[in-house]
Amino acid sequence: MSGKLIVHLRTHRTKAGLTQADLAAAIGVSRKTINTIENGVFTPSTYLALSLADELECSVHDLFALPED
Amino acid sequence: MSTNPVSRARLIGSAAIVIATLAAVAAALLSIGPSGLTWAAIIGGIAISYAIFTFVISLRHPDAADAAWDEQNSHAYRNSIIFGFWSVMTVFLIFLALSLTNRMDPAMAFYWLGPVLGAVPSAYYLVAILRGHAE
Repeated sequence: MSGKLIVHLRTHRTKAGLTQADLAAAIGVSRKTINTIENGVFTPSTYLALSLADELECSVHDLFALPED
Repeated sequence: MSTNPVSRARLIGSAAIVIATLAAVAAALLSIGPSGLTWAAIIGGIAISYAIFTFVISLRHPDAADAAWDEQNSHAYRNSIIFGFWSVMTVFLIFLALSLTNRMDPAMAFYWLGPVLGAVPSAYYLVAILRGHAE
């Protein structure tokens, strides 16, 4: 398994009118965690990915995508 | 610096341990200042104070503690412990060789392993914070 995860979190977060701090507080993580996920530095667990999707009222597939071969 | 009080306490505590350890190593190399045992006590005292302070802050701010120990920070912490293990193993082998060749007092080697064990994970975590991989 290789390749960097494609992340659309920032787009969905700004569309929802939330700051990184707002989203972090809503799901109980640090702002830095949201920041590093958005920048592709940190790959979240399934649980955290589902929590993000739930908070932003979209699917996990809207937030993350596998790189094309 | 983070606005999370638990993260802030962790950053300050980690930095204090690393600075004290570096000062102790520098003093030992230059043969100045207090004895190695005194330095070990200073570093140990800082580490214990940091642990107690973090514990109290975490009790007072439980939501901040949860956020400060979220999965990214826990991941960085786990990596710091793994790095600490291999660092201590390496230092132990170096101290063992020095002790067996009568270049280091075995008792002093034993006392110095404590600060190494405490400071290396803190140093790793500090670097993770500075690189933006933890808070």
